[in-house]
Amino acid sequence: METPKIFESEYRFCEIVWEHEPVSSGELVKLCLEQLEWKKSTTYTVIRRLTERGVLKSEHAVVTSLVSREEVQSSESAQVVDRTFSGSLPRFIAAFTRRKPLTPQEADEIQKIIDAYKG
Amino acid sequence: MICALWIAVGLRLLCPFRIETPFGLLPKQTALFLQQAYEYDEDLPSEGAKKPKETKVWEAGEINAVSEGNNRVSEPKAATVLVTAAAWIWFAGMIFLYTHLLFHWHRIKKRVQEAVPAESQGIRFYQCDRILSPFLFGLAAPKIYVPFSVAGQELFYVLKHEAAHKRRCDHLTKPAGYALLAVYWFQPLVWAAYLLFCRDMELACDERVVKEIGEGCKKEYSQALLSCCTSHLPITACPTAFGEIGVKKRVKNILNYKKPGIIMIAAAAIVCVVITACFTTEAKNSSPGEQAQAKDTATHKGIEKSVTAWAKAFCDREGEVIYHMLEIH
Repeated sequence: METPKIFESEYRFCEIVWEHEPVSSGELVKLCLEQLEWKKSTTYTVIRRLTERGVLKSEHAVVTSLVSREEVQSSESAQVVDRTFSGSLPRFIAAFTRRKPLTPQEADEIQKIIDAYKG
Repeated sequence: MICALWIAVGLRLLCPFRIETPFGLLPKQTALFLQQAYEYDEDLPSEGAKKPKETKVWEAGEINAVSEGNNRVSEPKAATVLVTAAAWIWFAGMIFLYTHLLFHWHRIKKRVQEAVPAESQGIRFYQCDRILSPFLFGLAAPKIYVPFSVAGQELFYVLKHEAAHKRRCDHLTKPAGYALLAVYWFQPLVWAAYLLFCRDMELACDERVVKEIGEGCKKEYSQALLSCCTSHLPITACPTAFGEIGVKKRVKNILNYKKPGIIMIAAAAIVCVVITACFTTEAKNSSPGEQAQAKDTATHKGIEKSVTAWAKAFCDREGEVIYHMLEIH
């Protein structure tokens, strides 16, 4: 299933949910007021909208996420590669390493991922 | 300083009273409504007629009210109908413009409610998804709103520009200008004045930013301006948006900007004060001889008008009208 699209300000909201879940909506309102300066009505509107989109689950005033942070990040990264490098990952990595060379540790990590994929 | 001149224009539109000075260049205003004034000259022969103790000024509507009270259906004068219709059209136009302002304000408020706070170079601002360009919004506590897509060097210039708007209180003067525009909407010059005022406001902020960042960064600032260029309608009361007005003119102004010397600033200030004094005050009254002559002409014209009104009332058998005209004695 395709990961639902999340806008940037919604992503900041989801970060609060991922950090504190499962969290009551009252507590979530308080956290959003502190960190994002959002009004109560704004927080409830966003909870409702993300619940409809399938990003969050809200049952008995307790909010949990249906999509993890890693899933959202990988979906967004794939979108960047699709949009900018016509879906070519090698080109993306080449562009990335042109600016900043890979450390030996990073190279090993990538090698392990490729091996796990091939194997 | 140019914006100070626009404020003088705004104050002139706002004030219902007129100040007279010897160097005023504005012409004297004359009343445009229909009136009939009469007074008897002592030398004119008038058999049996008493001299009036006071001058009665008749307006077009009064004569009709009197004759209608006489149970005669007299047709309302065309001029009164036109004036009433024009007044209603003006009122409708004003209400429409104020409604447009409130609607626009509400729409922006809804869009920025999910903005997330951030800070850069000591300037607090808010990042937002659903806006197209950066702007300053709010009356009592204005906030700078920037789209998420603006980052890096562009963000630096945008924040400087919007902070300049905040310091100059443009978030108050722009809606105030629009409020005046809504009242004077039938005057095309006021529309032109508002558009030019908005443009001058942006140019002034650009100059402030260039003064602050140094003339070496003019090119990068112009680039940031072009990136944030929007195709909004220019007639908005709020907010003061970054790429809104006349980008071409602004880029030219930035690239040609040179810091003015102290003498230039002083000379410009003197010119502004003189222009303000001359164009916001009216010329003082003319000499007593000219005034008396004008009064004589008005008296003769008044007598002519009152005689015509009397004759008409007599022919139309409008007893009430004749009675009221006599009542003054």
